[in-house]
Amino acid sequence: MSEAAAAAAPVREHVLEVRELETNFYTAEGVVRAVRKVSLEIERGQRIGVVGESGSGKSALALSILGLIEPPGRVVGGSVVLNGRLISSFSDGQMQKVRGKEVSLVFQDPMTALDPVMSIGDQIVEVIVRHQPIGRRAARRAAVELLRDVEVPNAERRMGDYPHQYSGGMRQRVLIAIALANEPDLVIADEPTTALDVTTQAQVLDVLERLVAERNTAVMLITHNLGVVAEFCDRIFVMYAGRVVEQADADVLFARQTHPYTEVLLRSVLRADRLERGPLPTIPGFPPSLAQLPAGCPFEPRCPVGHGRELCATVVPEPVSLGDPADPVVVECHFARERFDGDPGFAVARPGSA
Amino acid sequence: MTRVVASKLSGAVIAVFGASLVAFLFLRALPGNPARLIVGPLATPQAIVNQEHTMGLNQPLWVQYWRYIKGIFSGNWGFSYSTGETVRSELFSRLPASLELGLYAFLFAFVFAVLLALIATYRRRPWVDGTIRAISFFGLGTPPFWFGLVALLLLSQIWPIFPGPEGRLSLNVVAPPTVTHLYTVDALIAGQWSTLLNALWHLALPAITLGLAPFAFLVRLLRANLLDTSRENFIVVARSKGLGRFAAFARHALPNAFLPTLTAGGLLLAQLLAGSVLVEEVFNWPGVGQFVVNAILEQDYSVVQTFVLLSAVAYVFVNLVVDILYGVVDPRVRVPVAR
Repeated sequence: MSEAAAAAAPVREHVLEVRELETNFYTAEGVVRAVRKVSLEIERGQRIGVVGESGSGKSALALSILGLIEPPGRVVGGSVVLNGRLISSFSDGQMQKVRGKEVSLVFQDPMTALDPVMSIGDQIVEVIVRHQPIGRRAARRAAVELLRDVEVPNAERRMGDYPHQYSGGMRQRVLIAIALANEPDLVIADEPTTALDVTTQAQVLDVLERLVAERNTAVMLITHNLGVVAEFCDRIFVMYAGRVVEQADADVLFARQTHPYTEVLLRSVLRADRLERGPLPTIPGFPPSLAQLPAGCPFEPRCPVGHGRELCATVVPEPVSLGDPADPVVVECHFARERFDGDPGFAVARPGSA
Repeated sequence: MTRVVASKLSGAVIAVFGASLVAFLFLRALPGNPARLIVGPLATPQAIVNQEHTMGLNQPLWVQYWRYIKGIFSGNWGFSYSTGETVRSELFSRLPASLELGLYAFLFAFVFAVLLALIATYRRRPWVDGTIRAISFFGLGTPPFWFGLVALLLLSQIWPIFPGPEGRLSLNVVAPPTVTHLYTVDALIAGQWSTLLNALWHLALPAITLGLAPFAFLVRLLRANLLDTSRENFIVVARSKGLGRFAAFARHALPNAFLPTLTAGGLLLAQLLAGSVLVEEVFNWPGVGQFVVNAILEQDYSVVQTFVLLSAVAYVFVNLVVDILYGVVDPRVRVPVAR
């Protein structure tokens, strides 16, 4: 490569590179293939959204990256590279030095994610002293500072309180404080706002957004809430049945959904400014069982475009890269190119227009 | 805090009062007449009436009850008709043996239950878990007197590792100078190591026998609780902070799993302290068990009343301690203190 070309292309440093990651759960009902050869990368300071229905493998993906899949589950293939190191080959002992320091987790459900019999302060101090060579007193000061950062009022006094004395939104802030305590390069936020009411959701997201912007922390936001993703993320990965079926930059994706699943998923979001009388828009059918996947495209049975086509029912679609090669739209659909080009023969019928 | 303790204390006093009343009334509601038992089958009706008169049994119930309560507080706990000794000296000579046995049985049950439950849940090997569950089933399903006899046969007769049923110490060992009446503690205070070892050696089999069922119960309880808490979300969070499996388990799963065990442990301790007739009988242990059973059969009012009262005090006291401990370990039940 010439020097000019190297200078022209901005250096894109990846915090995280996931390649063909595969995680199975070995249950009595059979092998549940929760994550099926998922690849994704996150640049330093970038925010990606991983979107999908319940049971699409989002949380399993997060835990696989952190090396926290417990039996009967197991990561069976692929690689995870964090800051240039192949952490998927690390022992648990090595991973303990990575978790909470370089990559951390903001857990879903703040009601159960904190230990009910340990004070909030101690739970924050725990993660600080685990990774920083400082005494408990200094760690406590740092913890108070963190609580102030996440805008918990009376931070100093509330250090000694227990989780049951905190409201849901305040607990979620504590979880964010814990995740950011050691200034990690990547925060994986698994449904961080699901259990909260809408106003609290917005406040918590604002706090998270401000803090990661200040620290240039990369975020992997896992959610089924497309509204949250639209506000927060640079790039979006849509998961279906353990696969990333579409990935695109957020503005591109919200303008044009190439995978039919993305389109119907987006259409089923309720918007106050577009409420019409009539049944709520839904996606017919259910996601396939990850223990018994269909032979062809996993979305075929529910797909408004491909349902009934022999190609879709029998052949698994390969990923297709479209658009700007620097930030491509990658879609797993037999008709990705046609749909990307806006071919009306492959459009999803609008309700009422058929 | 003082207010909380005070309110719990007043509840405890009421409970003890209730127990004393129930014991008193039940004994008198039973068929039979202690005066007749004392004077014998050939006595004249007049002799029985005279005997009732000396014992105060002809007085109204409330007077009898009042005399009994007054006696308790003035240290006059009455006489045992069957032995002729005062109830105080009878019980005090026997209670320490039962207390010591109960304490060690509880210690064995609790310590081993915690250890085994930890191993069963932390090392998730099916055969380890299976073995521990089998032990616990065995412990729950085995009558203690049978277990005690078999233990004596195997570990004392066939392989003489432990002493036979000869009481609290070997015949040639002198009891340590009395401080607490508990031989192990007294021996420790006096620095008599051989006596301490001898006492422990004698305690081993009876304590294991008596503690077997509580141990099995606690293992099951703690194992189930540990399995539940180790699946909690906060364990995943603890691991995501960089804690190792054991640290997450010990610091977060264990304290949470421990709470119900504390309650159960308190009840078991109180029960063990009250002694056990069958196990004391098998090991020839000089405790209260046999004495009290005899007293019940002989309608020895004073003995039974006092024993029930002391048991009630032990129960209430242990539960009081558990309640207070609970407040220390579980912040959710801490009663808010008025500021």
